Amino acid sequence: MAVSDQNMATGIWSGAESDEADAQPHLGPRQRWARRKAILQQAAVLLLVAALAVFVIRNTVVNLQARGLASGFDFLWQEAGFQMAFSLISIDPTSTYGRVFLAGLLNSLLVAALAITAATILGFAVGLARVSPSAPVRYVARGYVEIVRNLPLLLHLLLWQAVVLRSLPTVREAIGLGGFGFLSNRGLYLPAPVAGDAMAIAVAMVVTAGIAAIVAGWVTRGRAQARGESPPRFGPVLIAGGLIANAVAIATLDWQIPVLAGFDYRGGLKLMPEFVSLVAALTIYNSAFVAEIVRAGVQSVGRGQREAALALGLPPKLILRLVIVPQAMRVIIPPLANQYTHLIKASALATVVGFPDLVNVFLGTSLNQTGRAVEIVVITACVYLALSTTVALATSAYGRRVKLVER
Amino acid sequence: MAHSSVSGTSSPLVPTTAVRRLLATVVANPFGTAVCLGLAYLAWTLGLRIVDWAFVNATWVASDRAGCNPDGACWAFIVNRLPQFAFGFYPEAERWRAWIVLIAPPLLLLLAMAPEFPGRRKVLVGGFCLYPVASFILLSGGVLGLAPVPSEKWGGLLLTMVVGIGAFVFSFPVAILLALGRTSKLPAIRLIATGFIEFWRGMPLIAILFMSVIMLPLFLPPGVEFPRLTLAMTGITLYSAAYLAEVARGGLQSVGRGQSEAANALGFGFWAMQGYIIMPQALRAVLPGIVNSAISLLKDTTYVMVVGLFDLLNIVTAALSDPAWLGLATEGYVFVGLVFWSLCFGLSQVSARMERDSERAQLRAPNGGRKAS
Amino acid sequence: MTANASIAVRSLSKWYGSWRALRDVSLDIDGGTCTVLCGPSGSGKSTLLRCLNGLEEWQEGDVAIGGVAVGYKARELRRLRRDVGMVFQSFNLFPHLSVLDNVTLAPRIVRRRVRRETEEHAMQLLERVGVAQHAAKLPSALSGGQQQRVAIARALAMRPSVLLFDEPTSALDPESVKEVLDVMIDLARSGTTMVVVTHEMGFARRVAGRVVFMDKGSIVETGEPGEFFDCPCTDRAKAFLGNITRN
Repeated sequence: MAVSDQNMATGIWSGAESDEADAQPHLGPRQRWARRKAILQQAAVLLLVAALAVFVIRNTVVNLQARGLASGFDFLWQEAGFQMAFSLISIDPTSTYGRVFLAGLLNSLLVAALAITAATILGFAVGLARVSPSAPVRYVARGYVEIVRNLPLLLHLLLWQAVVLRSLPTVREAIGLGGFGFLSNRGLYLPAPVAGDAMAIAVAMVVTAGIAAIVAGWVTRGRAQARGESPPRFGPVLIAGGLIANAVAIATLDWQIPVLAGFDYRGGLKLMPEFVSLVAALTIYNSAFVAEIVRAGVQSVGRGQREAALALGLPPKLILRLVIVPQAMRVIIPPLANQYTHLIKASALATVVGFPDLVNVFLGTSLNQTGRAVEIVVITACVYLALSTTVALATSAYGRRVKLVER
Repeated sequence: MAHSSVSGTSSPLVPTTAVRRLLATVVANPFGTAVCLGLAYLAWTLGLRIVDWAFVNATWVASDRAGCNPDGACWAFIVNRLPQFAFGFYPEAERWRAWIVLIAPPLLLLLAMAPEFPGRRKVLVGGFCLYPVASFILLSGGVLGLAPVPSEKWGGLLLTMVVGIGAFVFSFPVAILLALGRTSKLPAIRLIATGFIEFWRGMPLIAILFMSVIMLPLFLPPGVEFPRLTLAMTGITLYSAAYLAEVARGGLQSVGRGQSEAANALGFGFWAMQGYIIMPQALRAVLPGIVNSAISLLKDTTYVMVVGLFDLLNIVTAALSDPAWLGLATEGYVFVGLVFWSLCFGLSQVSARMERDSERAQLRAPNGGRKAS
Repeated sequence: MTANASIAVRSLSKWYGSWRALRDVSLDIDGGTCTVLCGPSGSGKSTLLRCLNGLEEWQEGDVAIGGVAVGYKARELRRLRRDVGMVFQSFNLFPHLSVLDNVTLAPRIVRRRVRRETEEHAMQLLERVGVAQHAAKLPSALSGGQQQRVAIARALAMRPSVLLFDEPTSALDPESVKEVLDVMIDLARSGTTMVVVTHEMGFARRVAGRVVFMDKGSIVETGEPGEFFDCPCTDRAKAFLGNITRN
């Protein structure tokens, strides 16, 4: 406050003039007592926690010995000896537990990434419908949200698994998706690129770089807009370059379309039904929450903003896009990131339907086979904590950026 | 309303009736109207088929799948299995105990809705706090001449209730301690509380359940054993406590510094201040958040399936593989869905009403509006 | 501790970080008198007041109330604060409790009195400050002046031997100021030891036994209100009074 600032100034000034002790704060008996008390209290709590830890560790050691279980992380380099029904990297019975762990982690990430993308798109659509000018649209959106979010996620998953996928036709009568993909009760068949590992990696790098360029271009444009400057010239160049690079990279690949051969399709990418139902359930369930976040965000933008835009003669659709949504994003992003963390964690439900995600193959099968309970639980915990921390850090970085722009 | 301010056309035709308002919308937004008409058509055809399936062609009484009309829902499956879905494998002679446990929460809720009477809050708080312990004793028996029933036999909605309400009530004191720890001035305590909260919030509940069934027995002294239900509930309780602690922390931050100063000046000690002055205000401020946590927890209880407990969802799933009633997944899951939906939707309405009430109270506070109590 | 205790402050110094808020303050206040602390904002008058019941901790010096030193252990402080009532600028009533419960809570919990006894006493006090008819309402339903009078009743309910007032009228509208000052005048005349931080010079003139003028963390001048207001000895006090009357 101004007053205390002023007094700060006079205090320092008169301190320099009169007595030395002014500039040198020191501890009186009260502060020493408070400090001692704080140290004692903290020491007591730490001691209690340490005692608990000792108790738990001692029991664990005794219990592990009694059960004749080995310990250590060496199992990660041992042969796992089991197959995975689906994996992004090749897994065979001679693969190590370390590789199995990696495959499980990649599967979890794949499920989470797909579901996050789909849930965000669907959620934004429903959320904007929640604030639509048309009342019936609002009611339909509200009905969707209320039905979806009040059912347990696991029920969504089992419903997809048991009802929707079971009612799909057999492989012989599979539904064609434009001649490229097929949907049957054995899963979803999609075209996949045929290429060696090296080629795939090269293409993946080009695609990643392309996406990064597009994002960078988009972000610089957004930043310039937020500051009210004209966007830098290289922005569009970056976006266009990224798009072209991606298109070329994808076109150079040799795409293989699945073909019916005997009882199953051959070639291409086969997504198992468990995968499809998992992604579908995660998408639908989380889209309802995303929709509510979007609605709250849009409604947080003051009415005056809307009216000011109307007064400028902006058409309603542009108002939403140019005025409301950009401002609402600040309110939307933090809870949205929170929801993403939820989704990543919820992807562990894969275990229930038997999709080989991290928890299923590592905390499940690997733990049963090796008995290294402590080690495996610690690794799994670290992975999930790292994932949620990453999301949290990204969010707080965004928060700082938004704060800067606001000023 | 919101739509008039966006469309901006409704000022000449002031909507007085629903029909007029609808017409105004149609004029304002032809695209939305087309979408609506499409959806309405879809809802109509789909609705008819659902009504046909669920009511017109449905079979309510039959002894097995073959006795059901194949064109309609086979509710006979649910009807026949209802006692099992409600109580699991709880012995029939002792079902009255399960009945009491199942009926008590709705009765308490009704009491919460009932008009104010002296001591109502005490009855409510006491009721919900005692519920988990009392129902545990009543269900497991072995005392007061009650026949012992192992927790492996509990199941169905009964188990869902015991796990959900039990974990919620037990997590409350833990959550309050964690929230106080996280807002403490002492760095060591803050660090421990923050680490604890972030650990449980960062882990998937599925992994927590696996952990509590695999790891907890390892942590305990040799020879000490707990049933699966207790282990799983410990995990869920700590998980829920971490989330609830963050809600409570929000509440603590909403209580002004002046409150603790006034309490200090009156000679309150730390715990008396928290118990009588800070916590009542903090928790009241975040009551909607607390109810939302309860809803999440109720839905999350279904995860106990992965450690082999037969809650409502799992017992229905298990019943689907009964050879006499094969292929009735839709009926089974619709039933489970209806139960969960009505519980969660009901609770969410309670939370929404609280939020509206508190907003209204906030609007009223500064200009000194009247509130009789 | 006796009723209407005296207060002794001996060479009190306090730093906030490297800023010295109180410099070597000494002050004696007799039991049963009303003392007004005044001075420009940031002069340390509120800090001094808050030291009297240990709400602020200081580095050097001693404070004693009724001959008992203000300690620093939590239990000693709690015992002291039971007997030292305090009224805040922003009332700090407990918004979740009715007016009556606001007044009875501390006697019940801190002094462990039974409810009936505390409620009777509370109603007498509410009657005395003139808000008895609002006993069942929540504080948010009252005006600022009414709330501050409830806060005074809340402090009185502990039967304190000293009452501290921290700018009790600064957050009030002019009409409410009078309601609250009337109650305070009544208290002062009944012979309660009061220390009041205020800018209400009219109040000081009418009931204060002594006026203490502070600036930059030290006591610059003390005196009877008559002398102080009519012919302040120091230039700083003159400047301060000049500012106040000009406003």
